[in-house]
Amino acid sequence: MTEQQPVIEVHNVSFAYRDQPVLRHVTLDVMPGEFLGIVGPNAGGKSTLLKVILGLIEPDSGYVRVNGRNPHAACHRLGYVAQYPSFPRDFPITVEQVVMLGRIGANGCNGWLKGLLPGRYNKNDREIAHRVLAEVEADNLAERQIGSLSGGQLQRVLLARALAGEPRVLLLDEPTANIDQRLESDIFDLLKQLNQRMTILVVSHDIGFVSAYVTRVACINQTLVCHHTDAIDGQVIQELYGEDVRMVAHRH
Amino acid sequence: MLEFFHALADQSFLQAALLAGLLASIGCGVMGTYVVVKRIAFIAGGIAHSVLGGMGAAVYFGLDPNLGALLAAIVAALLIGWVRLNWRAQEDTLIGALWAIGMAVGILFIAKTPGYQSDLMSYLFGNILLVPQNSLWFMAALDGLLLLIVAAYHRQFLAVVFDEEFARLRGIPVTFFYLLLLVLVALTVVLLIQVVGLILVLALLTLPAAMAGHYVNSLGRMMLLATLIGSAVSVAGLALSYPPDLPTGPTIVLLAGAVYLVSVVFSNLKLRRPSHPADTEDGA
Repeated sequence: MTEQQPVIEVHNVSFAYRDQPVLRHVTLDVMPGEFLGIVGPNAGGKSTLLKVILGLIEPDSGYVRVNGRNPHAACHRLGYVAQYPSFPRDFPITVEQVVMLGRIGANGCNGWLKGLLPGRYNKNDREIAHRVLAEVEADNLAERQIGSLSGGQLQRVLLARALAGEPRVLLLDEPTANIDQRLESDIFDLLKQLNQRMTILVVSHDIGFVSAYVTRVACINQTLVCHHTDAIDGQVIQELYGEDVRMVAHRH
Repeated sequence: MLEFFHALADQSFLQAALLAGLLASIGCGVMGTYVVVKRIAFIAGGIAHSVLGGMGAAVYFGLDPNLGALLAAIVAALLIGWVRLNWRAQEDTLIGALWAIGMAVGILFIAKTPGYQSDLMSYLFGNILLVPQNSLWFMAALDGLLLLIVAAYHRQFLAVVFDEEFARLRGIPVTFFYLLLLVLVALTVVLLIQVVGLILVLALLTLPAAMAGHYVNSLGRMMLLATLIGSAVSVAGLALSYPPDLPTGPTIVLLAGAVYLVSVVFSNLKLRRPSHPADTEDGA
């Protein structure tokens, strides 16, 4: 495989919830090692685009390839951190068990028969779970019940769960939306570090903040509005949001 | 109470009742845990009540009512699972309808069955004192099957009940395991009907597991503790109901309800004292 082959190809993807178009003819390639910020207004289709890449949503037209394959066949290469945890906080489960769930299917997940195999975790699974917990600085939380964590701790644990599958690509939907603002840069510093060994796609509404971290920005408002490798100026933001937006200080 | 233990030593029907209570507790502990954490008590109730349709039909055609119950429970579980997966918006209406329609079908069949109709009450409210020997074997077989499947697939079930979207991303066939889980709940309903009847099933399917959930933080421990609580409640209910000749099923259910209330109060008191007082945001 040459360096030039994209790890994710989104080709002319359109999707509508009932009659409401969400994505229109989006084409986007992501190269290995990129740290891509996906920004845009609310309801602009950012989260939907992530779900299409993950294979959770089938596009109405167009296609997605991950490492040249259908997203379902490549799902063990993808790690995902959703915007809202979709489980009840009082669920009787420890942090370690949550992270271990990320090990399921880590050795490939193509074919429904494979999904029917009964199985246990092995020593390797446990070691990886503890390694990724240490990596997100949450190894001291392993025995805690998930509901006893603070917002920032929970976010780190969910990041660890995504990392436990040893993904090539990490996709995060508003990873800092539910946590204290002063912890936002902690999470992004961590992502920057992870970016040394994996491709990262992060959805954010905070264009100014993410542009300090990412290598490229894709702006989505149903269509791919802009696709810049360089700095974002007021002109682009106006194109994207359709109005003047206060520009946030922006460091590189 | 002493009278009960004397009678237990002599009377084989009491020994059978005790054994039936213990066998039912295994199912209620293991599957009740999933029902409680996945919050599908209403679905379990729908399955339990529509089982009467199958029992009535089996009685009408001269077959074993347990067989009718088993088939009806599995069909109801798959139907309700299909409703949930495809008509999420009207889930409660459709499950409520299936619940009542199943019972109506059962009552029509039983009404048209010639002969003595005493069985209806025991289907509805159970009669643990009349559990025949072959029902005990049937219950043991159901328990064995439940434990085998849960032991083999506990990872997949945990992933599906905890976070369906994430389970799907890990390549787990979520629909398959969700339906399998409902079928196992259906088997448990049939198991518990032997003891408390189909109307009271829901109490044993939820209360012991909900109580256990107050004290532990893993599904495995919750299953174990719920099984122990279920056993204690059924044995105590049997012992309490025997001397004054009360119906056993309702006694067990009332006892479970009372213990649950005490447990709620107790665990709330315990919660007042935080277990991680030194926590700050992010624990840094």
